[in-house]
Amino acid sequence: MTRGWWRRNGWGLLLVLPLAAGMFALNTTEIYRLNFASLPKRAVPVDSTGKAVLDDYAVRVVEVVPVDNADEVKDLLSSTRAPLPTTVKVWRAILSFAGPNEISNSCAVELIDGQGRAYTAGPSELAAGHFACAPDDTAQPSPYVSTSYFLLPNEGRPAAVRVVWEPRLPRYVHIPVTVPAIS
Amino acid sequence: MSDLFSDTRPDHPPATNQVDDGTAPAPPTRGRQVSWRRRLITWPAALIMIIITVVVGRLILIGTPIGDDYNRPFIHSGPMGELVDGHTFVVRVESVRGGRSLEQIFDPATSDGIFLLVKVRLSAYDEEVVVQYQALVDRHGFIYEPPLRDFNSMEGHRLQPRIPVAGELLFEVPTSAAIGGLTLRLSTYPYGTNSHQVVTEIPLTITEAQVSAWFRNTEPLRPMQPEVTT
Repeated sequence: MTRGWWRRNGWGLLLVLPLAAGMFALNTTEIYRLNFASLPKRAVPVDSTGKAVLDDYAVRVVEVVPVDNADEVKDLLSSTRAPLPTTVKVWRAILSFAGPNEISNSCAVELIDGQGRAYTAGPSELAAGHFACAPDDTAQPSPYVSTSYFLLPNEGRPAAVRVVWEPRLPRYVHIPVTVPAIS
Repeated sequence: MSDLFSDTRPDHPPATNQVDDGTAPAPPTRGRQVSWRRRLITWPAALIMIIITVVVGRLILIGTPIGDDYNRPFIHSGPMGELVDGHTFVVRVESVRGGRSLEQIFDPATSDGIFLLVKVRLSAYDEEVVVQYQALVDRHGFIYEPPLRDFNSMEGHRLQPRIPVAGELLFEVPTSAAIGGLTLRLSTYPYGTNSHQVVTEIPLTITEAQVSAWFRNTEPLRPMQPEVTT
């Protein structure tokens, strides 16, 4: 390559940089959507009373407790599910939602254990609790309560409740919880 | 007319009625002229070159692997009876059984080949996982996905972290495929193996005698329902 080659092509080479940047700039929206906007990235603040506010919706945790009653567990399994071994435990979380409308879809409630593992409401092993965030009683006005059931290993202890509502991502609700001691 | 057959044009423009008084500028020099014969060859040659370029480009496109061809999975393989990592879950194939008939809600289904029930133990690591891609592949590369039958509830089963689940995966294959050797493929990626996703591959140990016995077995099979195991 001679000085003449650089003189002829110098501007072209300089243009490569802004053009390459422009190529990525065109995909910025998609990159943002895939890696940030569609994922739970920003937990909304929780006040001292345990209330988390996501826009015009408020979420509270009423209780997170293990289900020890054998009859209740049997009801949750229904007749078609295999009985659960003693290595797992069913947990119940009752949440209170307040807002202009009930949240009926695209909403997931998860229990997060101390190691950050996420257990989703209504696991396949249980016949109940598949409608997370939906009111237990459809006639109940806001604020309404919603009950979800989870399956955790015996040694697992919930450390937080996470509510992910797709239309409001990347913001989500993360409320730390303290569970009763289990004998 | 004579110009038509001349190779070159005259070096000077035709004379005008300008009087040559000795001060007139010299006639301009003109570039090299291209003969009509050369033009006659140039255009078809250019056309041929364009056609060749398009054809060669097309051949390159045909010969170049695209899409599904170069999107190959990350294969994690292991034998039956051992834990095989699937990136977000772990699987162990416990056993295989088969038969020609399958229990359904109403009448049993009968196959011209055999129904296979592959017993697996699945466990998710840190988040809920659905093993959406389940398939058997034979030695010729034919892929058998689960048939749409009743009781095939391992499809869509949502695994919770650290809670192992045992269940049977249902497939229907020709007897020749079962004898020739089958490999179980599992992945959380639902659209098969043409992607940069982890796929577990576990060759199934099936003997010809087993296949023969299964082919004669007309007792309707019922897949084991998923249950939490240890």
